[in-house]
Amino acid sequence: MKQKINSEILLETVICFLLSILLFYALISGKTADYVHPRINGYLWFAAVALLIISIILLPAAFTPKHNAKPGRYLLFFVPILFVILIPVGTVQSKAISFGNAPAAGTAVNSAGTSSQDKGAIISDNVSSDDIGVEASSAPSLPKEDSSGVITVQDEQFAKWYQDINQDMEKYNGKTLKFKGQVFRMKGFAKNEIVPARYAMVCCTADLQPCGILCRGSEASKYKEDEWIWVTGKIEIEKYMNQTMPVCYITKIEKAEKAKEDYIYFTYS
Amino acid sequence: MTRIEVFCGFLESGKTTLIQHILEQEYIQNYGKILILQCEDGEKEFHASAIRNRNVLLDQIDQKERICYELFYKIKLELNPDLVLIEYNGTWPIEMLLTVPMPRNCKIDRIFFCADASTFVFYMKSTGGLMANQLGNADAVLFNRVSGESGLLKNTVRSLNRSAFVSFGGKSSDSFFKMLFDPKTSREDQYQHQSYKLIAFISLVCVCMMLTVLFNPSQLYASIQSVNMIFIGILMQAAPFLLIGAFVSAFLQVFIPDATLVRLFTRHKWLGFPLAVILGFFFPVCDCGIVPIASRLTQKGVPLPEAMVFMLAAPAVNPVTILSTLYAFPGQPQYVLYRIGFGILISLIAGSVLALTHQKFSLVLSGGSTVACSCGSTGCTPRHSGKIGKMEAVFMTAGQEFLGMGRYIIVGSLLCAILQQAIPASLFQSTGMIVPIFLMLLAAFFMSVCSTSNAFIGRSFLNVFPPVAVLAFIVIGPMLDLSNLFMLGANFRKKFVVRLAGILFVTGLFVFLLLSLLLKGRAL
Repeated sequence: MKQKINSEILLETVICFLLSILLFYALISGKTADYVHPRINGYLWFAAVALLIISIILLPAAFTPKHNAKPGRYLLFFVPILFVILIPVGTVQSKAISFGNAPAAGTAVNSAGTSSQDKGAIISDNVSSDDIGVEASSAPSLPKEDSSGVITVQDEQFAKWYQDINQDMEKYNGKTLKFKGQVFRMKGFAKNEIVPARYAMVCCTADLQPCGILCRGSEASKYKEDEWIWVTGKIEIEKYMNQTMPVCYITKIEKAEKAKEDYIYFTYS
Repeated sequence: MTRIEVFCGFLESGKTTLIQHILEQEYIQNYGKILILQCEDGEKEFHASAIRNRNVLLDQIDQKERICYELFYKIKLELNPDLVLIEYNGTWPIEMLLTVPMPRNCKIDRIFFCADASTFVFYMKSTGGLMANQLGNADAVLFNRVSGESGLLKNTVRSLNRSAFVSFGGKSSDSFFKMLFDPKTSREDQYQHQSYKLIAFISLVCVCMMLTVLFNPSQLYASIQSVNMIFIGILMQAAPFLLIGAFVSAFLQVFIPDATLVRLFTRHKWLGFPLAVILGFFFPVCDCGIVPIASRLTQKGVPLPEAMVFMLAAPAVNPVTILSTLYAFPGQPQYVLYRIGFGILISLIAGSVLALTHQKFSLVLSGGSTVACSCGSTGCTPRHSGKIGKMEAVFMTAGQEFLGMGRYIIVGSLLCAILQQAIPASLFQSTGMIVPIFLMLLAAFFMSVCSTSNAFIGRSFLNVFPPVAVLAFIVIGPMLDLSNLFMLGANFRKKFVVRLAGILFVTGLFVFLLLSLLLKGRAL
């Protein structure tokens, strides 16, 4: 009574269905943001719906038996499916980045190519952000100075503020800023130098880049890589490694809660 | 145990001769009782005198309806032969036999497809479905009356059946049958063996992952997690574009006749290349979506150089790419122009090299997974007719194309993710003229960043590498991209893919070296 179905097609149907369900789940729960830039969400919706339709259309064909069906070739699809299910997303990001930054590993944030010099590029290159995005998606407004004269950058304002300070650093010269980020150091940093960075996703997790402002302060050395901190300090414009850029002189560092969104996203429209 | 062996193929394809030949072999003595079911009145007849087994029975089955459970039940009950050889009618769909419930200890073992080499291609075109149906289900394809070129035959077979053993007569088929029918030789099923290996591999990976999750040696675990994040990220980003590409390709397959496309590209001798370049502008999908489209074009008979020019130039002239490059280099529109210019230049050079080296283009296609309809052709024919049927066919073809290509992009992106983690960044710091370009080409190859986003990545290299090297990265990146090349391998011979990569690498290195010599360190 064997071989009354076409196992190949059946497996195709199952895979399309599973992928579609996973995509729907990821889109509805917002987990796609951990992997890809939100601008791809529209395409992902399309993919989820199309895969569902494909699985429905393919299903009847699975009941025409085939003698030499070789479902084995589709087993490969279970590698990513299992990876997604078995390796939890929640704990991934910070650790993934920490590995990238680990001095021993010497690798870049996440991409070998973009690597350390690229990190340098982001903190020093003053055109770097406005070119990434015309408009920062998650930041509706720029941070404002409060009554005590401190400009506090909220999580959702980070992307927009970062673009702004790189575009027009004079505006912030001499001002006291308070912002949050993960401790990030690169080769060649002095002991008192850190960058409280947020990781920006250009397209997907393969191209994460740390974004932040170089900070100086004796307390800085106490904090470990990837710790979330609030930094308060005064901005001064300096030359660093032949680049003019804003440098923050720390007056206060405190531990911070992890930001709600793991990454920041620049958008271009 | 009753083994049923099926011999199918058209009239006069040599089925009777083949069965006769098998029966004349020495090993056939080992079988107690053999039954031949003949579903067709062939020209040839069996010669009892030459058969090495005295216990052979012959029965004619002239109607389709007789192929049913009762037939095999009676055979099993009354005759209980060791071996049943069915000479199957070439015009009956094979499912008819496959759907019959078999009595206990009775099993269809192998399906052999016989074909006359001199008429095979002609029949294939004129009878399409019927022959494809039997061919698609076959374990072995046996050609006879072979003369001359066998490559085309093999490719045609492969386009419908990836795994069948193909023989062109002579010793290979003799030893093949000896292995199958001689009870003394072990009958290890290599295909099952392969899938067991795969299952073993996957479970090993799972166990490893479980172990790392359980014991959590933090560094290793973190690196696995970050590989996983990159891996899934690349896949998630590529999947929708690949799907769009698969749909375009399926649409071409279902709605556009081969001749129209071919004529479009070959009408004028010199118009093919420019047309291929311009076409790229109208496919605003990521470079991973272009691969299935280009493969489809080649399958439909568009000359290979033109199809390759299309595939290589499309990411450069893609409107989305142009836009993102503009954003990545604000106030420096020359980068966009250079990107388009060099993109087209390199794709044209590669196309010309392919055209000049006179590849036998029909042999470049490996007839791999995406052409082969895994349902056999009847399974894949839509159940509706007219417009609905065509839409159904588009979805089916797109789905199978997506899955066929998907396997390669999975391997490609997993490899990329691991490489990104494993290669230390310090490797990518150097000066000079050749080395940076070389390194950037390597980076482009391994990073597999999509054409729509690689301008941003490239820009971040500007501090370390000269602009020309960055330009090389941006232009060559989408063309010479590990996961794309893997996908290309789904439809093209590995040798060809390697050659193409070589051509691109050398051309890229040469062109950009020349450029940096011309500029002599001046800005772009």
